[in-house]
Amino acid sequence: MQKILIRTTMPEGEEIALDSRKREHIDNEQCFCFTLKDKKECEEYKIKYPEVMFVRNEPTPIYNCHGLTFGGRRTTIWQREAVKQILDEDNYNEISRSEVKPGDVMMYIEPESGDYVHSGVVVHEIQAILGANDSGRQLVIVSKWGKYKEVMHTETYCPYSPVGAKFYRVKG
Amino acid sequence: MNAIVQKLDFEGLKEIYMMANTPGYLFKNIRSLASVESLAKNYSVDELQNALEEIATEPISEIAGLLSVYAILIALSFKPLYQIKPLLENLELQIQWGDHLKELILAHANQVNEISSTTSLAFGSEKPRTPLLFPTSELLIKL
Repeated sequence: MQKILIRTTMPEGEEIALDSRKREHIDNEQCFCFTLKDKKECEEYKIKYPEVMFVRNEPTPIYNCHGLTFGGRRTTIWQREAVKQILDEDNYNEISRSEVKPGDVMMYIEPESGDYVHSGVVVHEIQAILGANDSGRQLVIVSKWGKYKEVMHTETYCPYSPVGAKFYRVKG
Repeated sequence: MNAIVQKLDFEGLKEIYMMANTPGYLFKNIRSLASVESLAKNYSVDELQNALEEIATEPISEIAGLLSVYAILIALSFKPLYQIKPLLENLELQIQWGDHLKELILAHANQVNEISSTTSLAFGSEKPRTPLLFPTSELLIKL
């Protein structure tokens, strides 16, 4: 069988220098793949997610949620091992939901595979009428939705399931 | 655009692609689209391969082309492993998460490459001693 090569006109992703606190390299990739270009397409998501509180910037594939949470908006971090490495080597500790304060990290984890599908930084909490958790409060998260934009949303109002989510705080 | 991808749910595909932070999310959510499962049900591995070959004739220059590739690849994960393995080995994917998606497709593919259950049903034995080296449908035709 002859080799089938599938490629795009976009440049391939490139890794940048990114180290953990322990000065170990973290796998990452600045991505240059397709994203939404025109405002009309972006409007579709605004309509689909009307309860989103705030949207920042234009869509970009350069960095993803983990790149925002852990990589200073510089690159995409997508490998499970890389996220785990950051949590371990940057001194994050898992905390219970009731302990969460602004600045802590919410990690959306796919229960079956253990994939870190999404992350964001907790910025606020509000009283919830619907979808309340243990204390009747909803956490407000700033995160980046894939190749889309930075978004401020409640913990359950996003394209990622909060079932199986965990919370982390830097120990010091 | 190849005829077999025309019925795909491009809006659904685009949203999953845009929101995906990881290849696992992309794979799981595209696989859950009814139009992708239909692709697997309605077309053979050879037909899906032909569609990929057609797309491969030139570099993909727009998002719809890339979404078609993701949909076809992930549709392959519904097929028997023995049918898709040679194809995946001959695919060079210079697209985001291409190699990782290959691994996920292989891991989720139907493992029916050595059928034993049909003979059990046909002859009433618990398990055949020797595995058969053809898929269920071919075996039924032969019987």
